[in-house]
Amino acid sequence: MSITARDVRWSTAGRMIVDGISIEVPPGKTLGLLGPNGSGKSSFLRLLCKLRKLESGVVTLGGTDIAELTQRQIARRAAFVEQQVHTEVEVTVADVVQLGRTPHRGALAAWTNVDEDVVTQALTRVGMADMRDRLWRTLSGGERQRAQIARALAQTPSELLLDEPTNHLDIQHQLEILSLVSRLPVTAIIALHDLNLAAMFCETLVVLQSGRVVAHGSPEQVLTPMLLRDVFGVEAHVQRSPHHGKMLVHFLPQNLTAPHVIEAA
Amino acid sequence: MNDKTLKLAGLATGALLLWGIGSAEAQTQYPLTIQNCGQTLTFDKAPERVVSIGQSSTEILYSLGLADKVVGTAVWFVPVMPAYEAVNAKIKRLADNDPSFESVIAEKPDLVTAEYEWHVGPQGSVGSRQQFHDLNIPTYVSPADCVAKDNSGGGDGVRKEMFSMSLLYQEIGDMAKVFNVEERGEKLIAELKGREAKAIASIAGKKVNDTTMVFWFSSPEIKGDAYIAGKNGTPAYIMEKLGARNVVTTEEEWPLIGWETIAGANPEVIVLARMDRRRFPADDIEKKLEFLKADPVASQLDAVKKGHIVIIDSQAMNPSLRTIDGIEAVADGVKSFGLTN
Amino acid sequence: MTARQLSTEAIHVAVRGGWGFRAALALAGLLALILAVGMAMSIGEVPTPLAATYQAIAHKLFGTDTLLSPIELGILWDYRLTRALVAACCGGALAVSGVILQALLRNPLAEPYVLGISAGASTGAVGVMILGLGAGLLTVAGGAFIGAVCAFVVVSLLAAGAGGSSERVILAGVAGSQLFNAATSYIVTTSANAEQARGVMFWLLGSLSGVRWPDVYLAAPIAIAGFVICLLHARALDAFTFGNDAAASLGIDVRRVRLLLFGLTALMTATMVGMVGSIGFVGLVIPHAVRFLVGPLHARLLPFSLLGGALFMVIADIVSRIIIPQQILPIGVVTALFGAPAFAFILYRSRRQSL
Repeated sequence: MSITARDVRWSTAGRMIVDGISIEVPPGKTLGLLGPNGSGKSSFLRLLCKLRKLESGVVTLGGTDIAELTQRQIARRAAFVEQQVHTEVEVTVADVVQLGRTPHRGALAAWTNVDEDVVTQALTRVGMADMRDRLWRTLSGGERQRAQIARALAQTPSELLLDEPTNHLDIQHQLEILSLVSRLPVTAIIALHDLNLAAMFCETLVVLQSGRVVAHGSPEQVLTPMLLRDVFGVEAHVQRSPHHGKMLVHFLPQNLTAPHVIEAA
Repeated sequence: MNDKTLKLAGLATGALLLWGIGSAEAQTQYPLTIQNCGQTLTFDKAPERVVSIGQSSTEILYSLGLADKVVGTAVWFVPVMPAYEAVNAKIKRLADNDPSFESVIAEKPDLVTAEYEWHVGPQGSVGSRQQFHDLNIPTYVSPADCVAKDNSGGGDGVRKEMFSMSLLYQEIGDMAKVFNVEERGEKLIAELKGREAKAIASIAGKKVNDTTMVFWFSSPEIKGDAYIAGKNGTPAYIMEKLGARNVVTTEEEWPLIGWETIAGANPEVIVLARMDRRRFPADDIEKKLEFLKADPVASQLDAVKKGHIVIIDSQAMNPSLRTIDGIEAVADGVKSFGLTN
Repeated sequence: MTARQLSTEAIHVAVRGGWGFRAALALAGLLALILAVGMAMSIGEVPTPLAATYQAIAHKLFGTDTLLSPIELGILWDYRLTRALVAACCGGALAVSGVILQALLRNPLAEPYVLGISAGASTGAVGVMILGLGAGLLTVAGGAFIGAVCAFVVVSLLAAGAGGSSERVILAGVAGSQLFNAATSYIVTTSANAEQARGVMFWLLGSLSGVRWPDVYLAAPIAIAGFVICLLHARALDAFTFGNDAAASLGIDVRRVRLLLFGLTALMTATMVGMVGSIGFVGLVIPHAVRFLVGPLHARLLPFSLLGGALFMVIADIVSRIIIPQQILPIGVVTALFGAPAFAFILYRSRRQSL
């Protein structure tokens, strides 16, 4: 297993945010993390790469408990992209992507050809190869997101943890990024809002509600009208698309019912 | 008695009477009006309760035998002159430094004397003169601190005209008049003038041939810039009277001067202040001497190499009765160094 | 993009792209520093010819003969040279500290005194100067150092108790500074006479007058060692560009690095402030000026800030000694006089750029 979490718990300011989540992601697979705001998606992703301290439970990367790994060892294999970052520093796109090489370089190590190639490839993959010298503060929201993803790719990770990476992107770039990530031979956990994109690009889906897993499986298993009603509070019809063969959610917004909590099976 | 004896007795009595009348003390006419530092003060009678803010003003009152009129003192730089230890011990000391306005008026004074305008003056830390006058308490500020002196800039002020002992004699004279002890005042002034003249004459009246001197009071940092006497202060007066030359040319009373500048002037005599206060490390005379011997540049000064160093009481470097002691000490020093011709 | 935007971007690329430019700048900076130190030796209240400087150095280093008197030699070697060297170390250390704090606190207004160090040093200094704390065993510099460290500890505890985020650190620093400044004022107003208050003020604004060779032997190793340790963390500092989480996700041990670097800046700053008093603006302005020239990456920013800060302080020292005849202006006044308009200019330029 590439990434596993067993009964992970975490709370802050007296509130339990992550309340006993267990998942397993085989190598190379793409897992979509779904759930309404406040369900604990961002916090869970942070726990997976040791950005927060687990209260209880175990997380392993490549079979090793992360409690035994240093931050640097984790960073060499797992890359994390936040929803939004900002800085006042006058960095260029190239500077940002080059940051991704940090876990692989010692304090005094010089910049190598390998580093250079990795950075160039990462930029090409997100379609920003011609924007190397653009200043960060002149970028649009979507361009910033892509630059961050390039930075994550520059870490040459075996695990990618993306927190709503498509929020500010044009639809074209949304599709490009998700297509890229799902094709890459990396294990990916992507937190998403868009259920259809999740169905299109993720092999497995996990739905969170109030810090707990309420559904886990393939898109066919997970995306049912009952779940959509209970967890997301929407009426919808779900069918397999005749065009691309993935599950497709037809939203039917006339009827909205209050969701009620489904006890985890 | 026969005729001759009667005549002698009559003559003798007449002479006695005349001598008695002639030697009667000059009495102050009350109400008395005097000018002091730009204010007019009026006294209906000699004050009975004086609060004295400033060691020099206090010691002047003691020297005039007026210790019994003093009900409170403040601002002390060094221990009181030994002659007045006993009387001073009986008088309430309001503060070693600045007393509060209320502590002063709590003594119900009918006169407040001050040595420095920065205690009682336009920016006085104790209070302004108006504040006291509003309560019908006259304030007397030492002429030495207000005549031709600009204290508005804070610090020790800037003196526009050279200090002179006549400013201090004026204070003695004013106090003697106010308290109706004019004869004592005249006696004290005469004594001080006599000592001053004697000290100057002791170097055989020959000028010290323009010997350069520097007066070092203290320093915030022992190796850093030093408080050196300016061109018009009491030390400048001492130097002028003895025919020496001050290497400092600013009118500030106690400017901070770097040792590079002092070294560049290479004074022939250095006069150091001895004091009991230990607020700056450089207050200690031993530390000053240590610095002069150990500093790589100061140790090369002519004055240090030849040992032409005079040590005087710190109070002598500011307008006070002890200034005369200072003149005597520097004169002695200069003579012993063989710098007179 | 408008023409103005294009040209601004072009300038950025030009100054940051070429390592040839940076190498030339480094060489020029080093030469300028050596020249400035030489000038500092030659300029002063006592007029000395330029040749005297060479003679003095040659005599002291190589034992050649000299016509200079011991006093002239002493002034050049023991007074002016030591001043210039300590000024350089102080300026460099403060500039490097400014770079570190601006990176870790992610605030362009951060500077070495934001952790309350200057305020604490002032309290320690007046405690020794006016209250006589330390019973004569403690020098003013020692008292200042202890005060600075105490303030740093207080601020750290406050910040940690309030959550430890960068905003909280800055707020804790403000609170700590206010506390220690109040203590300083209290001591000065209740215990000092006018003469002492003036002496204290001169210390608070910075004074290099008491500096001799032993101070150089203290300042130089601390400045250089501090700089080297910071330079080794240049990559880590870059990683903080997007915040603590971003740095951690890049493999940085955030807690250890922050602890080490905050402690290091506190040590460097406390030492310098203890030695020469609080000299402001250097830690704030130099990082910005250098960033403008060589860009924000710390592998370049740190060494050039060291150089820039050193150069700035040596020149400020020269100015402070000659601007008023027979007197020395506190160096903090000079750095503020030049630093404040420079900072306003930098702010204005960056404002226009982000339009």
